[in-house]
Amino acid sequence: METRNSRYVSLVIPSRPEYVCVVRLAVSGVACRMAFTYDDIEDLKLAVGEACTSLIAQFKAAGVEGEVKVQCTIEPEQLVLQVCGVVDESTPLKATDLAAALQRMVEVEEANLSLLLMRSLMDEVAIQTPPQGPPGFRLVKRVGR
Amino acid sequence: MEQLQIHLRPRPGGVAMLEVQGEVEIYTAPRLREAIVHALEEGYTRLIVNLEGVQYLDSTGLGALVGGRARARERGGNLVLICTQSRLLRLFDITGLNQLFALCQTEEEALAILGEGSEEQHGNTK
Repeated sequence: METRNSRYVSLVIPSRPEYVCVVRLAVSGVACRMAFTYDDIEDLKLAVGEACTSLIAQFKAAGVEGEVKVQCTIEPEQLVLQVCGVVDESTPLKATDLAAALQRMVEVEEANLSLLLMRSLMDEVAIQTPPQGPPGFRLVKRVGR
Repeated sequence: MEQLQIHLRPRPGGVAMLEVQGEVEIYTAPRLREAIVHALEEGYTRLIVNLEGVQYLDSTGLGALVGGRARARERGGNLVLICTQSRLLRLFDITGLNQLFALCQTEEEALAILGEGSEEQHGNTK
């Protein structure tokens, strides 16, 4: 899946709190191989942790277990992180429900520390909803900003 | 090694200090919340949470601190923080929680702030 200018690292974790630190470590390892500063790497770890936390909270609220998929796209000038919830459509939680729950985060942004932190620490934050792709977050951190 | 360690240390004047070491995040934040509740149930309504040993703090950790402060104030007490790490202070700035919490540099400063609050509660004004 490697193109000329991009490389990919993917990770899938169960939607359980104890695995979020695994994602942080993995993203930190990827970022260390780019020209990010120590502070940038700390920002990335926190932002990706917040994205995972937000998704896991939605799974927990629905009373179901799913997976959180993290894809790191390594580009020459930036790191793109796609953090998405993977739902089993046989459970009560549907992808559209998860997307709607994430969209509600935007409506109450001031009260939502997760989204506030992600937006403050990253250069770009977008909430992804179907049919664009699985529900989740797209986070971009540029090198040298 | 455990991801989070919390030690409760009694201080003069009915104050308790919670020394927090490690990572406070979605998995461990409930333990911080429980430690604060436990201290309040033990009768310590004036709490100092020392964050100097914290290597990582996220929104769930911030939430535990906000909830703990609210619980302490419901009981007529307060919760103040010792925090000098620039990375953590930045989070309090970003979220506006620097306006809510007393962020102290030393234990003496924290004790002085809790002492002032205690005097105000008893109607003593200097």
